Amino acid sequence: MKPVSILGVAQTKHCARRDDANYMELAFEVIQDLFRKTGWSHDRVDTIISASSDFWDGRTISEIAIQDPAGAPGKSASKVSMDGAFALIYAAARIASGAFKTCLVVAHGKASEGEPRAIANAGFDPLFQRPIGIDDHTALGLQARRFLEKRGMLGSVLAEAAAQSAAAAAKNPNAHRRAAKHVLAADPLHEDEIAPDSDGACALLLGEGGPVELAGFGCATDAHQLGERDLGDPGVLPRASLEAHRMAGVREVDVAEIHDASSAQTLLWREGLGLPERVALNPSGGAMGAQPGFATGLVRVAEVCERLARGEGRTGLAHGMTGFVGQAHCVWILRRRS
Amino acid sequence: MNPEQVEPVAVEGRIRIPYRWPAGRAAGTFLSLLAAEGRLVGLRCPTCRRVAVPPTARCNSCRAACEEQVPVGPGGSVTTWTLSRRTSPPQILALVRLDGADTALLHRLIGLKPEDVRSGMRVEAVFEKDRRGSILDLAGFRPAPAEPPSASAGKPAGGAR
Repeated sequence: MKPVSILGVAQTKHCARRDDANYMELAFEVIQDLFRKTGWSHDRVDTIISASSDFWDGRTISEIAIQDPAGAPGKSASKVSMDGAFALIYAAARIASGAFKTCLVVAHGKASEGEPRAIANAGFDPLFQRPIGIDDHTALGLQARRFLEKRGMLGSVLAEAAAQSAAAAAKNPNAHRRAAKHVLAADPLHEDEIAPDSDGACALLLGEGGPVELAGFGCATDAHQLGERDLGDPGVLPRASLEAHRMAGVREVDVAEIHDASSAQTLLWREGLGLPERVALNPSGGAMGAQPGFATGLVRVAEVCERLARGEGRTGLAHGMTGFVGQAHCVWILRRRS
Repeated sequence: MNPEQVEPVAVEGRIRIPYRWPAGRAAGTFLSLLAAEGRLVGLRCPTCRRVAVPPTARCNSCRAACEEQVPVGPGGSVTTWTLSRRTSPPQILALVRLDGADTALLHRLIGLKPEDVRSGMRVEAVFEKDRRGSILDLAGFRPAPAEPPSASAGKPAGGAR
């Protein structure tokens, strides 16, 4: 297999609502920014992999609309309807196989176009869970309570974790600025302890010879029915993490960016990844700082990549998630080439 | 016209598509018995003995084919809960581990106030009178005074993993 490295990354500023751009323009904006930063152009890209959700975009095969901004006509392009961190597996395989020299990876999320809770409700199975009225936030509430009670923790740990994320996000120019209140939203979670619904996009260019390499990945999927899992545990995350560390031959990382959809997940996923205290977790504010749909995991990869490229550590971990309350996890290990 | 000066235009829309979802053999049997007899059943795995509710044709723990039907409930215990504010009044959503089951069922708690809910509390199924083969043939779970009939009750969900 050929080594795969990241030639450049770009992300938009994330916010509650981008009425000035449709999602194709949002994708175009982030791709143009990527080319501007890397000095690359459409005609030097061999293949394109995108991540998007038909349901969120409100149209079937929604990626056909971003093929034009991605410069796909005449090229091999494909899509993953999972978080961008999973799409990165597909993209990396295209480079590792030697079939392609460069791959553009693009993911977007435009929560403002639909009703996020109603869309999430429709993501649950139609026989047993959807009719009950569950959505992503209430699923996070079920998980947060089980997590607290299993460990005998008070709800104040959720507020503390959320405050840490908010402080980090305040220093991130791309983070979603919001005025979340400390009012109960999905007990025991308060509004400010749940990640925002953001509009935003992220793009990566993969190829050979970049400053940071994709050293390993691991992913694992759990049962869909919430009642099949003990929501107070990190579930299959440790398995995905172990696989990624093994592939990379890395024991410990210097920095980690994770997709935490709630402040309970900030704590729970940290535990599941086995990250020691010294590892800087979510210096960008994580998903609690911006959660632009399927771009959220790809933003984690971009954040880690930029930090390593700047010399802030040699190895890093990026985590993406698809499904509800951690049904599927994807863990990447990145390494700075020295 | 300078594009920067144009008010953004947004087109409103709504997608409504009717679906018909066959429940399959395992879930279909569960829903049929619920509708016809007001009875709850799980499927026991022949290999790891795990009882799944809602039942699945294959064990999600060890992948063996499951055919042995076992009665579960109508009592159970709450493993975790939250409050859904999408409806008015808010609904209490909970995972309820039915007696005899190793997994938990997502449903609503009824007949009690949020401040009176506790994880681990005993509840019992309340059936609708007019049933049509849906998980909503169960109106929800209400508080039950009785102690767990078996020693295994009160365990968290996700048992044989």
